[in-house]
Amino acid sequence: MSQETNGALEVRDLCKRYPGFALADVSFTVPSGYIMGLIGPNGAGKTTTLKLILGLLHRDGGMIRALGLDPATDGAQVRSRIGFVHDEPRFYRSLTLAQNAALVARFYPTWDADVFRHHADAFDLPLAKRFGQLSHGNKTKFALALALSHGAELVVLDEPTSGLDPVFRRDLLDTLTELLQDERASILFSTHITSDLERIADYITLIQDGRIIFSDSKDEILQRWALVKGGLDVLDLLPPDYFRGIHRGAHGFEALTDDAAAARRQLGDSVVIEVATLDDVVLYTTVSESDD
Amino acid sequence: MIDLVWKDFVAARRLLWLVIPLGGVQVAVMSFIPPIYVTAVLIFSALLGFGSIWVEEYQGTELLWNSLPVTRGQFVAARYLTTLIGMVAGLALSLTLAQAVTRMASGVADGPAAFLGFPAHVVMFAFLVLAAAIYLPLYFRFGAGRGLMFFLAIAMAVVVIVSLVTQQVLAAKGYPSPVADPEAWRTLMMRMVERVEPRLGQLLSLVIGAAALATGVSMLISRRVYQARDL
Repeated sequence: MSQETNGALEVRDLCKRYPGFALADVSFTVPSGYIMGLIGPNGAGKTTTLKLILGLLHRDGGMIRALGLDPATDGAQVRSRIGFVHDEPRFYRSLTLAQNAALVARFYPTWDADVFRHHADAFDLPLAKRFGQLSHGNKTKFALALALSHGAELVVLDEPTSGLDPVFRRDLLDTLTELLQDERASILFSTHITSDLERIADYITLIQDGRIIFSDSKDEILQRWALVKGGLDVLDLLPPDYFRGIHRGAHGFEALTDDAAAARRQLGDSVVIEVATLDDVVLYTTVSESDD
Repeated sequence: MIDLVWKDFVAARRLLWLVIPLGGVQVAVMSFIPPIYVTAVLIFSALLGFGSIWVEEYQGTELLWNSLPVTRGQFVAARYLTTLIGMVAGLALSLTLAQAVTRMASGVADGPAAFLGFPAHVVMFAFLVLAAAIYLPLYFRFGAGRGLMFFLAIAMAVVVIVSLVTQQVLAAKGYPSPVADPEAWRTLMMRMVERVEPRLGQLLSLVIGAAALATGVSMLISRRVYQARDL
């Protein structure tokens, strides 16, 4: 993706150090009006990145521009224009959803009660029920309804679909797509359910061990990355770093390449080259080599 | 900031429904035993003042409020305001109850002892404010639970050191020990009260001024500590 893109969110060389873990030189851009999926295994640094964007953590280096503002210095202003859903939504358990929503609404001058009611109806939320009595899925739905009810220009979702049933996951993805139709909002969506991203994401960023593996448009990724299958004799002829990840079986191998065109050209008919899914890309890039 | 204070009040409503009637009864009953009344009032007012912190900790909602369009400075200021409002409400309610109960029981307007009067409540307020001034920076740095542990350690150390030093100074100057000679100790205390009483107004102003200064310094520390903290 172009570095000059004037995006809704720009992250450059972002660093955050913890004992035993570091987010190092994380860079990506979410263009206005698009959905970016942030994928990676647990502990890769997805939540840390999202918290840095919200200004909840202090960065050790790099730059963040969210809607043209720096969350480190203009945190409240940035957050007034961002809708967020944390991975574990927390609200007052003893209050009803309506009471919790009324508390949150007071903080947003742009709060739209009609939009909230619309989302609450669409998500089938029991507004008279206490938050503590909800299932995990309904808690996420409630947090999402709040995030979408104040005209947010950037929506940041941390694992919003984990714990949701397939029907609601589909509804949620449809809602997010609808949200983008008038290009009001951009969405940064962290998940480990890659099938969700294949449905709605325009851009994908893969993060692993605090480092960006790639950040590109989904179409480009699916075009460039491919799954290569062949006999072990082919593998012996290739340099060890030819593939991004290899799975060796008793009689053959499966491997991931980030240059499908070159693999087709160089390996020809000696192997079978298939379109890689996002799942394949994540699986092979996070486990570089494995044996049966 | 008022919205942050309001959410504390709304969140603590259930706690208030429990603490106010039970604490109120306790305070009313204890107003007949003034020294214990002081302890009851301090606990009651501390519960009302610090209760919202514990509600927040229990519900795990600190991250939520900091994810809204709120600055860390506003969050800190609101926490101090909620705490002060809670403590003032507790003390005012206690004073009203003590006055009403003792008036009904004995017909004496200002109760059976100075412990129940307005000046005593001002001193208790200053004491609570001082406790808040120490506890709140610890809360903003370490969280409610660990902050309380550090606070208790500091409070115990202060109590032990102050009492030991005071005893040593009094003994060195030839004053009686309250354990060895309670009667002489009582006479000494009465003499001290007689000396302090004419300057009570000045003394109370001084105490309130010190409490306000401690709160200001504490707020500045809390703000710096909380702004530097990762959530």
